[in-house]
Amino acid sequence: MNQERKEQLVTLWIDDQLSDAERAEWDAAVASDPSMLEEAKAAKNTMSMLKSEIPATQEPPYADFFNSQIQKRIREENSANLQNNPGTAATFSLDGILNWLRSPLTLASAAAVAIALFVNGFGPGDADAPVLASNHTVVETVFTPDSAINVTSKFDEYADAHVILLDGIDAIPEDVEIRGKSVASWAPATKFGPARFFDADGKLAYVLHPTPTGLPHFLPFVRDI
Amino acid sequence: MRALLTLLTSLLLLTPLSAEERKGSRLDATVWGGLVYATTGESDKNASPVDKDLAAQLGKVKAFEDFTSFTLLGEHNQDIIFSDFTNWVVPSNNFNLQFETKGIDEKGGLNLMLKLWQEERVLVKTDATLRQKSPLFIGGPKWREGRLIFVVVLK
Amino acid sequence: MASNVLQSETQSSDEDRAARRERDAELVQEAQAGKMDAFDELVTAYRGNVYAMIVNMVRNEADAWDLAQDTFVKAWKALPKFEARSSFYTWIYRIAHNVTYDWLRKKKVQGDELDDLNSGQIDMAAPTAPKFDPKPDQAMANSELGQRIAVAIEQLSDDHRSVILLREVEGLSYDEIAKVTECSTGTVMSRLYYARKKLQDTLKDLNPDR
Repeated sequence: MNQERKEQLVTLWIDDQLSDAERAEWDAAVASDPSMLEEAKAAKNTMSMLKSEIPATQEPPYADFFNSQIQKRIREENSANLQNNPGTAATFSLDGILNWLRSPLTLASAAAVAIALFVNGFGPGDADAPVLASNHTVVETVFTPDSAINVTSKFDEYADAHVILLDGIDAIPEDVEIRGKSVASWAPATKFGPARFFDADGKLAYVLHPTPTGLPHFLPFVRDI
Repeated sequence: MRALLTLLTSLLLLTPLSAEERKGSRLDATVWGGLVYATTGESDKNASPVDKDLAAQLGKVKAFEDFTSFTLLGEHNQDIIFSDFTNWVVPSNNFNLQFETKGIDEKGGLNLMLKLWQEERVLVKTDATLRQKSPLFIGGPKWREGRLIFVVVLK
Repeated sequence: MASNVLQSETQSSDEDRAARRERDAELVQEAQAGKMDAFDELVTAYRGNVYAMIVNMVRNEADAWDLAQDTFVKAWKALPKFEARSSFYTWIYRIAHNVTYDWLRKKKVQGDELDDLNSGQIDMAAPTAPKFDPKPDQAMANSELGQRIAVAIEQLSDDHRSVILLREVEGLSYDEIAKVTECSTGTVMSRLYYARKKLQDTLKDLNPDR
């Protein structure tokens, strides 16, 4: 029996997928090489341990918000499609979307999200929050991907500012230097180079080359070239 | 070869954006971003004090009321906002703001999707409409005897 | 008696699966007609599976959240092309798999690119050096055993990790895994064999039989 066939039989045995004919083949193989069964049993035990530790499902954090954000993105893409192609139908009918917006399920979900945001400390944290004047900055949704961070968000009337507080972030060690610069202008990244930030004298302050997955990566400084 | 690559890279980095590169939808708006250090102790000698009015507003926030000084570690006055590109407000490479605009509303507010980064970690994402002279304060981590606060204002 | 119980459990799980497939087919049809609440119900039904699969592949909750979102938005856009006779369950896994793989590929490229960029710069008076050291989410593996297993899985190649998770955790058949990963069942079985062997070698001290 060649090695490839042995490997297939081991895999089938571990998964309880041997047919009757394959079972006979397996029995014969094991009779001539008992170590095959030993290794297969050990692998099967390891897989049982793995299954017991890794859940097959895991609700994403802020699950209702997860759904509502997907809906929001779809709405935005559909309205962008309509703007770009006003004469053509959207990917899905606008009637369908309007019906969805009016549906009890959507209204219930929106209420659930609003409640979730309220309970989790997002959005206006105060049930008696005043109706804001239209000249104030408004924060519609707030989300932190880090479940260790507790976010609160509210308009502070006394300070006349919107305040988002992030609590639960690790303190920055004292010996770490946090420095900034006074940046006066910038040029965005293009296919020819990264984003560049300049001070008031036109000198390069920062060079930012976001990674393909969107992480901000600042390049080591180049001076006096 | 490496020296040539360095030279070419440096020339590209030091050259301002050409007219060709500046094409794209620019919005008539200026966003000011500042990294503020709020402290009860000694202020950072390397930093300048925050504008008086801004300091007064910061001091009125309940969570910041114990801080006795507010200094500016870095600022970025971003007067070119693109609707086609990702925009960055970078007062510091430790904390910076990435945003995408969804345009200007009928009242002159700038609709944004914002992400505040601490190095390579997203601290918070938010959908917001910035209105002129109405700041957004984002209270960040503690540092030394105080706290870092990111301020965003539409000018 | 025991085999009757097992048989009836298997039967009921087969029945559940058939009922689920039927419900999915109805929802897909409604969603294809533009009914967003039908799509929302599909998201609710599958977000747990999709998120779990992605978080196990990328080992980072923040990125997994974004990638799971991307998966469902892509699914919405591709719904017109979805054929009613296919299984929505396998189809959504395939999209999640492709979204994750694209991301993992970009991440590998960026690792190489960062090396190139950094080595091409003259580092004069550098401020804080850029760091790129993504850590897997420590909170995910609470037990010591869980941690050992998480580390062992992380050490597998993307292809091996993918088949192990789809088979052992998500319970997909070889054919379903082949559709998700767009390769043959023979390749699926071969990858399973080598992935299991590698995991067995890494975790052999935990195995009471050896």
